[in-house]
Amino acid sequence: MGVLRLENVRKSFGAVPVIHGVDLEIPSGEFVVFVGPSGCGKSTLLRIIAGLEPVTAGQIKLDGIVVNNLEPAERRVAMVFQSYALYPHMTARKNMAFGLKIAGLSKHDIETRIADAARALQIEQLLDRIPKDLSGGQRQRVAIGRAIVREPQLFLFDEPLSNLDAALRVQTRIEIAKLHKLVDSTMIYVTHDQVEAMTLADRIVVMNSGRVEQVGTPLELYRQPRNLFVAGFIGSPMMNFLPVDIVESPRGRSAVGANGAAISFAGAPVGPATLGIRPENLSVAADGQGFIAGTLVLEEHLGEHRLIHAVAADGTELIAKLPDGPAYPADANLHFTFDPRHTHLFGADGVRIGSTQEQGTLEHA
Amino acid sequence: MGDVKTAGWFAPQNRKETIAGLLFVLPALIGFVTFVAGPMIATLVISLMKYDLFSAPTFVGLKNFQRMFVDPRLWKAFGNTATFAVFAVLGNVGLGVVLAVLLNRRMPKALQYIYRAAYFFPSLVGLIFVAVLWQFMFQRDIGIINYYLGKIGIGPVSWLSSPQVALISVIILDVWKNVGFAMLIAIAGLQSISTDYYDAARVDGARGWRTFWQITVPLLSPTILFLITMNTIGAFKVFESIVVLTNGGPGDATRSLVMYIYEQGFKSFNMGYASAISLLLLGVIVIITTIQFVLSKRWTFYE
Repeated sequence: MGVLRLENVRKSFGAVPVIHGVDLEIPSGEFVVFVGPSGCGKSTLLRIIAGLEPVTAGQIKLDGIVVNNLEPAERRVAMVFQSYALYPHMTARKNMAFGLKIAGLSKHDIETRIADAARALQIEQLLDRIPKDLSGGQRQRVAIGRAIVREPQLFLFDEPLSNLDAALRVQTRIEIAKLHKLVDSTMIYVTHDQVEAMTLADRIVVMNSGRVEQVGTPLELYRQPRNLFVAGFIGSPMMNFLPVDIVESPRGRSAVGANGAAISFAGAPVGPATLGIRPENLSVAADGQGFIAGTLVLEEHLGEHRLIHAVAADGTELIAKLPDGPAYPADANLHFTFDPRHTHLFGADGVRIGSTQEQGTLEHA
Repeated sequence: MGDVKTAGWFAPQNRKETIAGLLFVLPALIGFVTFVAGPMIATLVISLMKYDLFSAPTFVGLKNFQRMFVDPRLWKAFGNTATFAVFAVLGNVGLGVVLAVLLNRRMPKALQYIYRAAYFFPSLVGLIFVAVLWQFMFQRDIGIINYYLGKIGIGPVSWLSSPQVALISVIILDVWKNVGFAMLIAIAGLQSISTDYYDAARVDGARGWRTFWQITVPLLSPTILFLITMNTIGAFKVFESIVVLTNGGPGDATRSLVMYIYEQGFKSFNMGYASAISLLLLGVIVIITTIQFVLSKRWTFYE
């Protein structure tokens, strides 16, 4: 129950295409997060799945049945909106009962379901209040409750945490994860926050400009980003991108950095490429060593670690995440090195060529 | 800021600011005193007098108010006005909201503008002109309405000369004239309702009339209350359209309270009695508006 399949789903608003053909299969019970910058089409795709927005082309299948022309209620989906969209003139209880009444459930069944959901969400004492008299976090729970009582095949969340303050966001995130274990339904969750995506998802769908850039588990995306976009989007602070030139050398194909250091890539084509290194994989080398040199711009101390912001001679901005330690002098000239096994190489077209995990070696001159 | 002034308005340190403030509100104050407060106080005073505009007023106590109880024409006019108010408000607000919902749906922009303009247009035309126009339309023998009714086999209706029908004609004119304004306000109200509620209702399985009654109407309730209040006040003061259309006739069948006040004051020169009826009208409007606001707590919802 709850297997969702998208086949070449396309959507245009007027002449403007916003979804360019998405293929996706979500098995039953999976927690999938759509993540991407604003305007990437993730919310539109969610609304298409919900049945709130018709597709321009393609098919949406639930458990093998095409549901393109079914209303949301007929698809047995439930949705939690960013604004919660609780009916302001109804108490929490009536908000939760509304859909059940329409579905024709008996009074007894409605009461039982609401009582069960209220207990699970710890909102029993709020049931007779109207939304205006609830805090943001409480409204969020009621909105989730309204989704739970419908016992849907598919839970849809549209940026449900973005209206909460930071502390509440973390807490609610954990509760949504618990909820998924509890109800065992398929869940699709839209967010622009990659931390939410990483922590909640079984699989993440990274979207950009109406296209799916990559689908994978959080760690796959982190370790093997398919292209520059995914590499830059997943991980915080963002991955460093160094423009390099792959040249033929006596040691094979390699990129040459500062101080004569070279990193070799056996499988890479000759020509311009981008070397990606995550801030947590950079470290400061002794003077005259290292692959990149840069001038210190800013040092941010976060307690357990610090972020070093530097700018290389060619203008490339660098961020390194280092264990905390004594501050560097202002404008210090720093040399950075890295473990070549944790680098990512992208071709001129932005597509991943391969990491150097097997073949790469970094040699200092 | 912290410098809350505790001394009086005219304490030396505050005097300058107070005078400046008073100067700023002076223009509005002069208008209010001349055109609102002054006439109201005068009405109150005159209602206790016998005054025919020509000889000096004489004090008669509550006699003018006692007279109301034994004046059948007053109660006829009062009944007409109340009937008119109920149906005009129902027509204007009910139809206005329905039109707003219909014209707030997805349709070609041009069509939407044409329809909205068409329904709103009568609100822009002078009331006297509208009434003259409808006078022609309502004519029994040469009127355009009876012409088309005749085509479908409905006999000529005495729109303006039948005591039973004339008040209906007045109400039709009022709704035709004012429904566009109610529609416009209702459209503004509808557009301020977040589409998320409609999405949520669709996910819950609500459609059509259920959405209208359980989502749209409650969320539009503050706007509806505003429309009911404004239309009720307007309806109780109805005057010009009836003067042109039926002049209160046949008999007193369409005479409104304001028409009766006018007749008593400026035709029969009973200024005292006319003032007393004005106060009755004021009292009725205040009471009805208060009741509406008290009751509205049970059915209006503010987000």
